[in-house]
Amino acid sequence: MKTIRLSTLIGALVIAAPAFAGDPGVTDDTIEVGSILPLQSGLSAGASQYRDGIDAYLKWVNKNGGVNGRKIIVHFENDSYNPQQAVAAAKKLVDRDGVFAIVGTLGTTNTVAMIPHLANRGVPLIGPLGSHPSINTPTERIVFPISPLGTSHGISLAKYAAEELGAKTLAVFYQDDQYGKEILQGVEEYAEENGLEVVGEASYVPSDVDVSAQALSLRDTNPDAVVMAVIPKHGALFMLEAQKLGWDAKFLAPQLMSDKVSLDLGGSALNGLIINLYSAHETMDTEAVAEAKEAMAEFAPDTAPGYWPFMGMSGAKLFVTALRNVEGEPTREKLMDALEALGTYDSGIIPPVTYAPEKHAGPTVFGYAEVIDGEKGEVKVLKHWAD
Amino acid sequence: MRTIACLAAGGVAIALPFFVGPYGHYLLCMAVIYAMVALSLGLLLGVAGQISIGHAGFWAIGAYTSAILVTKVGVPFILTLLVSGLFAGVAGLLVALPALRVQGHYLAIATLGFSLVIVHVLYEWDGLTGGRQGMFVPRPSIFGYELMSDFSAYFLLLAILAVTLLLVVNLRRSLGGLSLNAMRLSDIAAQVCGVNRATTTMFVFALSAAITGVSGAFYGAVLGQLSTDSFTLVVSLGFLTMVIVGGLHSVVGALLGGLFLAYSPEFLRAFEEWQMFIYGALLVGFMHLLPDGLASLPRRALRLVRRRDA
Repeated sequence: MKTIRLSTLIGALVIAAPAFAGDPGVTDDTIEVGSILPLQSGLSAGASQYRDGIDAYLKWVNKNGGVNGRKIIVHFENDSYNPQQAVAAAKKLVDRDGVFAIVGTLGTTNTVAMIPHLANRGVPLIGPLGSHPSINTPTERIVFPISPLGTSHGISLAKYAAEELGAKTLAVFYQDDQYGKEILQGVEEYAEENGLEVVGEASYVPSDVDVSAQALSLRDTNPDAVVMAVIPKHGALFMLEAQKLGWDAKFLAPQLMSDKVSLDLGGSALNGLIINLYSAHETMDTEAVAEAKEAMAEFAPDTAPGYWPFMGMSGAKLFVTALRNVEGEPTREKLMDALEALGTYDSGIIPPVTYAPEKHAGPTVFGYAEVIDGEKGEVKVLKHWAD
Repeated sequence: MRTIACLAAGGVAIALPFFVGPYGHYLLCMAVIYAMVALSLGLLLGVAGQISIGHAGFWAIGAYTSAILVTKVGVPFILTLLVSGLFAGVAGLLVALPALRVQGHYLAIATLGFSLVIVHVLYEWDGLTGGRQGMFVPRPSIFGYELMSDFSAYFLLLAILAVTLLLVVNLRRSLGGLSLNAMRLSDIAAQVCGVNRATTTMFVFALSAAITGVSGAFYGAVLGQLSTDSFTLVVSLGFLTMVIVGGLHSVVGALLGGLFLAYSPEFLRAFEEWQMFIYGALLVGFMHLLPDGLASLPRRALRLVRRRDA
């Protein structure tokens, strides 16, 4: 009799086991995800806004009923922009806290460092923002990028200079690292294929506090347009030098150069600067932007809507969109299937991404905007990416 | 008594991973990797009295040597440990040359310069190191068996640490160790007693760099990815902090320093934006209250108890 009871019990457990075997981080009423950001580093100002974007959007989703009845809980970890701490944070979130997915990382080397571990554990990484082939054109199935290739930035800016501004000669002011060199490479590629001439190149390193020599040397090459592959501080310094020199070339830069930090630093020197848009601008009159601003106003009222929070939000939005399409109990495998079923998907917060089984790619098209009045922070959208 | 304490510590080190999860295994691996650097730096700074704020450079040489040999040449990981140590050791010899002429702050600047140059060369050498993109590194392996989990990697690390410990402890007791000690206390007096300053300085720099190189080889393999961001000045300063907090003049201090560097971010995580402030306050506290580091705690406690009994 005892043997029969024991056999029945074991049989019942074996049959019931699959019903309880959900992926980590999923309960009946919650799904826990992680986000790893450089909250204490040179990128901390952007990272905290990025965090607020993710947090506000997920709280807004939860307020509106969650995803298929489940609330999303997000755990934020700081990696201090350090590869080793990024791996530690990934291991902590995955192996100790048992999160379902990583939604949002910021920075290149730190994100790249954590990919092997996440791939080893099969944990989806949605919304990494960085500039590296492993992030932007990933070979690992778990990676779902939100940012364009660095070379695409260069191509988009050179193309705008040639087609819209009629530039024949270009100069490039770039940061001497992966980020800057990829944009430079894009400009050179476009120039070579379209008969433009790159007449000058000058670089800086992030620790530089004076870029007047670079401004002088590039002005002497007399280009029609100057493409800047820069971060806000150095971009603003360069534009201030250009203003001092009375240099009237056209200047173009990635969207970073229209954020509040850049405008505060550069002021009127930024007037006329053309930027490419790879996230929505807060002045865009679209439903997605209105929804994003509403979420920010309610759950992160101290953070102004803009580039950083929108980039953070975009990963969270892709995660939620795919999760809503998952049938039955969510698993990491089903989530990745749902993401790959999105195809070319326009979230309205960033230009369309393309996720398919054979291809995970960030945006390849851009919008454009112009700084009208840097002192007042006035930026005018010239072209939406959908136009 | 000392043997019993050593055996107990060894037993705890072996038993620990059975009581923690995968994340704990990773932290233990990092603690051992740091402890090896602390041992090497303790030898250089604590025994020989030579400062270095460029140990991240030796660490980088070890890490990249092993990673390149494994991924591009197909050399077994265990063999790359030896080559990493050798390459870093040769670099140590080169750094020792200025140490023969300068001391103190000037030597610190020379070692810092060496580290910055090494990191810059690795950064620019795209074809070999992946340059700005970095490179992925396979897991550590032994006799063709890949140690996929940090749990198994920890035991290999522990074995290498034990060998390093034996080496360092024996060296400190040997005539060579006494020569280093003598040189730290007074290099003129040491030379009068027959110690060859040039040979001794070059030897200690090479040995310290070699141990750090072996640690670097493990670091790359356990982390899974290398980029020059892992070998900055901050890392070198972190190493110095580690040996000072642990205790500059003892082997136990080096081990405690390794634990401190690996675990302090975990304990401080709860303080969020106050982390760095508290970390700084802790360091200042250590300098004032425990100048001989954590290793001196038992001695101080014993002294307190004796004073109270008296």
